[in-house]
Amino acid sequence: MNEEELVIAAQSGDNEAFYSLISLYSENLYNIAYCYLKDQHEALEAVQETTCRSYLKLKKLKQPQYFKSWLTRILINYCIDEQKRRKKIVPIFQDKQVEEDSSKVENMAIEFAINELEPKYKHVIVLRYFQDMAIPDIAKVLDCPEGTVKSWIHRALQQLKNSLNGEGDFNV
Amino acid sequence: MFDTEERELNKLNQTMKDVLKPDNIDEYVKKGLALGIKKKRKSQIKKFSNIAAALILVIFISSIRAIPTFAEFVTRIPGLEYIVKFINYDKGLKSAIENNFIQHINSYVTHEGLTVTIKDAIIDSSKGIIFYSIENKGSHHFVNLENMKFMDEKGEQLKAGVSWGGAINKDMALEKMLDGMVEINFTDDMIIPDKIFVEVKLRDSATSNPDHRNQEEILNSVWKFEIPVDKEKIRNMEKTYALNQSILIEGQRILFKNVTISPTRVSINVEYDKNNSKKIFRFDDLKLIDEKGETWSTIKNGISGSIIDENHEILYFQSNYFKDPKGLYLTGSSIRALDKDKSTVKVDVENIKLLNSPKDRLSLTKISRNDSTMTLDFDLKVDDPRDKDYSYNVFSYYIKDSSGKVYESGGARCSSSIDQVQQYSLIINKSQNIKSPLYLTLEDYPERIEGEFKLKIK
Repeated sequence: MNEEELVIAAQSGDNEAFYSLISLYSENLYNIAYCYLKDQHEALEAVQETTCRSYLKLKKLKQPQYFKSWLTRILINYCIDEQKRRKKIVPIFQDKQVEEDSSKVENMAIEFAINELEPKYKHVIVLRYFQDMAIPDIAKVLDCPEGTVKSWIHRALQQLKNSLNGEGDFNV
Repeated sequence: MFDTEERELNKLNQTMKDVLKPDNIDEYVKKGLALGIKKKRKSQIKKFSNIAAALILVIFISSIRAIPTFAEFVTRIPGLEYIVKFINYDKGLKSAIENNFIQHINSYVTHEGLTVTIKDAIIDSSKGIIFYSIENKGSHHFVNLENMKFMDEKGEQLKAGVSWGGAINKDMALEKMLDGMVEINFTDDMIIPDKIFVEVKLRDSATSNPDHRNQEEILNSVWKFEIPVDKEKIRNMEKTYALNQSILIEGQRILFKNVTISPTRVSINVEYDKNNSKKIFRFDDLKLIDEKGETWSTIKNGISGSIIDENHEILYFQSNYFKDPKGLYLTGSSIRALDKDKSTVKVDVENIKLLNSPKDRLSLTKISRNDSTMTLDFDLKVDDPRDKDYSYNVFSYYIKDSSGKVYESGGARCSSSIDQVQQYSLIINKSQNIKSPLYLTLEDYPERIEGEFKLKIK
């Protein structure tokens, strides 16, 4: 079965088909979630919750060919909510956590810079560079015109450049 | 123009790909799917009960002399509406309340801005059910029951098993008052006191996540109560019938010794012949049936049985005490059981291998260790349609290692079936010095013996 057929089978109640579908993208989902949540366990929970939510909402997906974009959107929405919730509950831990986890990877400076971006700029960077998604696909996930995605990527890169150059120590 | 930035981004991408991928993503996909399936089913049941409620309403409108439902019955008694959600699954308890077999206690104590009320209690000679509420008058969050102790007049703890469902776990800053229920399972050799003394300890957590719990959250205060018991009355309410009939299924002999009927439940004493070649785990469909065909099933949401020893067990059913049927029978048709010589599973920890797997249903997928805890992950093949909604708790919590030392399990997790496979994890505490191989005793397994039986109780 190809992806579209899997979606149609899953929509008519085939749980095995649904499982195969999610398995196609589970690593992608994990990577995106990690970019947002910066915590292995929470990223895994995001994968779990996205699986659950998409399973419950699957019948509402009208165009099977857009399954991946649709799924990614559910994940991103979850991550954003989760970030907001975390900010509300433990504002003190927020910075600390970023610091701790970032120290595990080398590219601290750029990671910091990405975290500082406005949400829409962050979305496009994550999807473009960490998910290697093409502009039209990103447009589908974020539900906006391709032109907008292009200009957001441009502005996001500009901001990254500024913040990396601005803080000379981190410059590479 | 952005060459440096793009290079950095690609480098970061590569780093993340290399470093950060856990190997158990799939496990979380399965959990998510299981959760989805469960939620969907729940919402379907809800829909169905809405339709059922609509139907009942229609019946009420069209006929004046309708039989009042249980929910309607309790809403006529002020203050009892809240009980419906706790006992709606147990028709024996419903009928106890309809027959006014419930004590209104309504005694409350306030400490640290939290008022605990013991609202009502149902107590007979077999068990007690305590309905309580917690009200937040201060600035608390996730308040849950830490412990409820029951004592006699001398301050000695009752010889009884106490159980309560999962934590209420709701933010009490938002919901000021919450209800809960605790069951006390009296043992045969326990003397029921004239007064039961209750001590409640509470815990106040900042989040709902049980992984973040610690000792400091337990509040210092003790909320104390007394519940009077009418011993004479409850003793007279218990009826015992000698049964002493045995059944023989696929060569296995099972003796049903006696049946005790009290308002909260029916208890049946069972003995498995020690010469049986198979170990009996559970009955699939054991139930009581009266002369008109009405049935009472075993208790599933609560304490379902007491194990006395290897070959003796007490099984509990929903009570028909107030129905008092003329004829009563015990029926069943299939029992989960496995050859005794196969009912111990040997695990080679070093090579992550099972040295035997009964009927090839069980496989060991992973062993993980941290500090002193060891977790064993298994896959269990479950292909019988009867097990569609059942999760197997496969092993006993007592684990023996090769030196003969017994370790206690810190708990187990079981999943529902996905593609006819259930995942089961057993956690062993304080296992630094554990010596391979380990011996695990099966407590339940998807193998069956079958044969219909019907025994007359009265």
